[in-house]
Amino acid sequence: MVVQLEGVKEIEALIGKFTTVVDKLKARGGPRSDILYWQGSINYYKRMHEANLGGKPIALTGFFGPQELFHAMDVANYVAENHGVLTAQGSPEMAPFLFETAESYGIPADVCSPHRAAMGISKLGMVPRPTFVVSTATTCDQTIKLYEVIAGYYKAPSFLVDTPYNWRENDVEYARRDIKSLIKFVEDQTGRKLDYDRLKEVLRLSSEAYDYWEKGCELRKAVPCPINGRENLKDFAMMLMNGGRPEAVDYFKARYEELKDKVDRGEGAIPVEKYRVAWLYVLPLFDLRIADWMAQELQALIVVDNWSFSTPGVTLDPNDPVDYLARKPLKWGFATWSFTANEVGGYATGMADLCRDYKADVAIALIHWSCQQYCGNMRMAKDEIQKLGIPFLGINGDLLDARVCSSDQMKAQIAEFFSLLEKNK
Amino acid sequence: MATTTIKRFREAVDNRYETIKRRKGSQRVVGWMCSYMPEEVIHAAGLYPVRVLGGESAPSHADAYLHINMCSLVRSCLEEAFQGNYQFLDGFVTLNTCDNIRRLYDVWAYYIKTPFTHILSLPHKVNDDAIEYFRTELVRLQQHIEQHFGVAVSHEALRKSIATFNQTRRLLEALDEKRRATPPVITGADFLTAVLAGMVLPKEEFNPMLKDLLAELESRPSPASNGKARLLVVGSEMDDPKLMELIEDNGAVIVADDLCTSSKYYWDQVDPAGDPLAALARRYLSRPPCPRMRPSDQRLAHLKELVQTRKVDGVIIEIMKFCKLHDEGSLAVREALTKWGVPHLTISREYNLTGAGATATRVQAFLEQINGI
Repeated sequence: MVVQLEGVKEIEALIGKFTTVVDKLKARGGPRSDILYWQGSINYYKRMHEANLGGKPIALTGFFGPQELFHAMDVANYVAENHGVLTAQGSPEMAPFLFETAESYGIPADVCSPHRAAMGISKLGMVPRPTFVVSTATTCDQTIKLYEVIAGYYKAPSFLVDTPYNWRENDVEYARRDIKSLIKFVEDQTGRKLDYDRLKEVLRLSSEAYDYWEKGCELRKAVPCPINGRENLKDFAMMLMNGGRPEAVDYFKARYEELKDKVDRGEGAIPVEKYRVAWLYVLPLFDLRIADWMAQELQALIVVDNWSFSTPGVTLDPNDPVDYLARKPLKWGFATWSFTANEVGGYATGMADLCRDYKADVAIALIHWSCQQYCGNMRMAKDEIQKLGIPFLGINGDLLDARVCSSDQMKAQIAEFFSLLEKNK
Repeated sequence: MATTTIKRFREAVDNRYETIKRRKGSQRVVGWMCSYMPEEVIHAAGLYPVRVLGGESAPSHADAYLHINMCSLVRSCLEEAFQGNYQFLDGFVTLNTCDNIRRLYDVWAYYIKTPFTHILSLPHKVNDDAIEYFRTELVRLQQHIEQHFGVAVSHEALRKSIATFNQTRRLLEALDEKRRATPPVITGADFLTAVLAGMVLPKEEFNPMLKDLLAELESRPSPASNGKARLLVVGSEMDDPKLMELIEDNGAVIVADDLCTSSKYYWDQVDPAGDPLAALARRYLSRPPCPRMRPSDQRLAHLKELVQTRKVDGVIIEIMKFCKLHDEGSLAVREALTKWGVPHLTISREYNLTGAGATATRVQAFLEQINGI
C-alpha cells in the first residue's frame, strides 16, 4: 500500500514563496540580515521537505526545545506552533479554518490560538508526518497537553523534556538527567548514535549566535533605537529554525553589524522617535503592521519586547553539552520570565527592568486571551512598571485570532492611549 | 440521610475559618493547595496544615489581580484572601501544578504577603529520576520551614506524621469501600464532605471521627437495592458537594471518583520504611495522576480499573472553565471511555455551581440514556 506523504505541496509552495522573497531582496540590495533570514527559512523547510520525501526521520518539536540536538544528529525538525502561526498568517480566512479544524478534533475553543493552529495543520495534513514528537514543559500547561494530543493524533512516540520550574542545583541536575534520557530516546527513534564532538561543535555555533543576538539586543537600548520591534520577531524565529547551524550565526552577526553601524552613525529606525515602547509579550501575529502604524502615525517605536529577547548574563558551556541543553531554556527571555519561578526570574520586576534599561516611555501589553501563565502576571507587571512612572496599556486580545480583537480595535485603543499621554504632557 | 458525623464534618467545612481558629491554639497554620503537596512535611514541623479553598463570594476584587481567564478556583481562593479570611495563615505553600496555581502563588506572595511562602517544583513525569528530584524539593521545603519557623523537622517526626496520615488514608479507603456496595452505603456528596473535612481538621481529631463514621455506617441497615445508575465522577478540583448532590438527586449513585479533593487525596500509602522524604516523594508523585502528568497512560489505566471494579454504568467528566489541563486532557479520557463502551457526559462548570437547572437537565438526559429510556 502506498502511503500518501503529507505536507508535500504545502512546503514546496512555502519554499517557492520564500525564494521569491530572497530574489526580491537581493535585487534591491538587502538588508543582508533579511536575505539571510529568508534563506535560513528556506533551508529549514528544505530539510523538513527532503526528509519527508526521502523517508528520513522528522522530529515535531515545541518552541523551547533542544533543537541543536537534532541538528547534531541530522534529524530534520519543525516547530509545530511556529509553522501553525506561519500558515495562519497566510491569509485572513486561514486562521479561523485552522482553529475550527482543531476544535472539530476536540481541542477546546479557548485553547491558545497558535496551539489550535498547530493542531489544525496536523489534522489537515499540511505538514509532514513526524517520526516522533519532542516538547518541553516550558512554558505552560497547554504546551504540555498540545504535544501529547498531536503525538496521539499521529500515533507517534513522544518525549517531554521536563524543564524544571526552579533553577537551583537540584533542578539543573534533574534537567541534566532528563536530557540524557532524551538523547537515548532520539537515538532509539532514529537508530543513530549521537556524536558528542559533533554536538559540541553545533553548540559552539549556537553559543556564537546567542552572543551576537545578545549584543544586538543591547544595541536596541541606544537612543534613537536602530530597529523597529517588529523586525525582532525574526530573531526568535531564526534561533528556533537554525540555532546551532551556521545560518543562525551568519544572520545574527549580520544583524548585529547592521545595528552597530546605525548606532555608530546615530541613525534611528524612524525619523522622529517621540515614544519608546516596551511591548510586553508578542505583537499580534495576525497583523504585525500595527508596529509600523505606531511608528508612522504616533512616532512610537517598539524598542524591546520580551519574546524576541535573549536573556542576558546566562552563560552556557558548549563543552558540557548535556548541561548546555539542560539550561538552554534560560536563554529565552520569554521562557525565563514567564515560566521560571519568580524567585529566580521575576516576571514583574523583569519587565520593569526591561522598561528601565531600554528607556521605555510607555509599556503596552497584548493580553493574549488564552495565555493564563502570562495573564496571571499582568497586574504585578503593571504595578511594578507604574512604580517607575511609566504609563501602561493592557489590550485584551489574541495573538493569532483577529476575531477576539481586530487590528482596528487595537489601533483605536492604542491611539486613544497616546492621545491621553499627549494631553497629560 | 446524613449521619451525626457527616453533619459534624459538614459543619467543620462550611465554617472552616472558625473551625481552624478554634483548634489552632498557639500552633502556627500553613495553608496548602494541591493534593500533590506532602502535608506530612508541614505536620512534622509541628505546624497545622489546612487546605486553602475558595468561598461563595464573586471574585470581584481578585479579578483585578488575576485575569478573568484564570480558573474560578484560584480567583475564589484569592478573593477569600483579599477579604481577610486567610489572615490567620502563617504560611502558604503550593507546587507548580498548573498555570493557575502558579500564578495564584505569585500574586498571593506579592500582594497578600503571608509571612512564609514556598512553591515546590513538581515533575511532570514519574520515574526514578523524577522521584529523586522531588525528594530534593522536599528537602528544600523542609529546610525552608526549619529556617523560617525555627523548628527542627527530624526523620522521627516525619515518620510519626506519615503514620498518622497513613491512618487517615486507610480510614478513607475503608470509607471508600462503602461506595462499592450495591447500592452504596454512603452518598457521593457525603463522601466528598468527609474527605474535605480531613483537609480542614487536624488529623488527630479527624481520624477518630472517621472511625465514628465507619461505625455509624456499619450499624445502619443496608439500603434496599434501587437500580440507580452507578457513576464515576472525574475532573477538576471540586470542594463543594452540590454537584454531587445534583447528580444523585436526579437518580444516580456515585460509586467512585477521580478528583484531587477526594480519591487522589488518600489513594496509596506512604511506605513507612526507609528515608521518609524519599517515601513521601514516591507516594505523592506516583499516586493516581492529574492530567498535568505525562504520559496519560497511568491515568487511563486507573480510570479503567475504577470503571471495572466499581461496576460503573457511566462517567461524568466535570471540568472547571479555564482548567486547560483537564479540558484538553479529557480528550484522551473520552476516547478511552468510548472505546471501552462506557457512556460519558462532560459538564463545564464554574467553581461555584451556577446554572444548576441546565446541568440537572443534562444529567437527567444522560441518566435516561444509560437506563435505556
